[in-house]
Amino acid sequence: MFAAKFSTELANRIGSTVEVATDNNLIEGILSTVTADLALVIDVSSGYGDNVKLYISVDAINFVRFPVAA
Amino acid sequence: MANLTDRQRNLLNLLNQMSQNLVTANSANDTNSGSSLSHNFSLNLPGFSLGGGQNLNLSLGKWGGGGTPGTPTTIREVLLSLVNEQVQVTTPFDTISGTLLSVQDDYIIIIEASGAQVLVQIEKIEFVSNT
Repeated sequence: MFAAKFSTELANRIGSTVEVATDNNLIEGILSTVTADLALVIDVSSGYGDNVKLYISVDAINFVRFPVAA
Repeated sequence: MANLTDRQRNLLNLLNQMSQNLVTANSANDTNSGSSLSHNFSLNLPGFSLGGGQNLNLSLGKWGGGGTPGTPTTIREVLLSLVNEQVQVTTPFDTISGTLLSVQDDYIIIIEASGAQVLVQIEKIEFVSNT
């Protein structure tokens, strides 16, 4: 049901809305790309205009929350 | 063999009997094996290993030597014992509360009260409590 590795499970959920927590930051956006070491989140919380791409080291992630769609 | 105590000698005799049983079982399964009885042998049982011959090496496997049986030694083992329970998991950023759904190799899945799924990296977990 779930992949054995964290990065593999994230890769299975590309396109989902996520909240990614690192030690000091919470990033909200769309999970775009995942490799073994990097996750790319398109930040949509900054309002209108350019969507900011955030590359996050997978090792730096505390947890990833998948909110229930409203 | 010179300086063995009675207990060591008895143990060695028992091990020899076990090795002969193993050889009997093996030759019953493998007709091409011929005579392969040797003086040194090893037994591998889950969580327990014995090395035969002059030196006896005893090691207690799963929980480590000297520990209380059943005591977890890693945070993953603690989590495995809490599957389907209400837990609070604390990471440097925040504490996550909910039902522990599953424990994988390097992360866990928690379902929060809101229904949101949270994937938490095990190596980032500082402490766990059963609420």
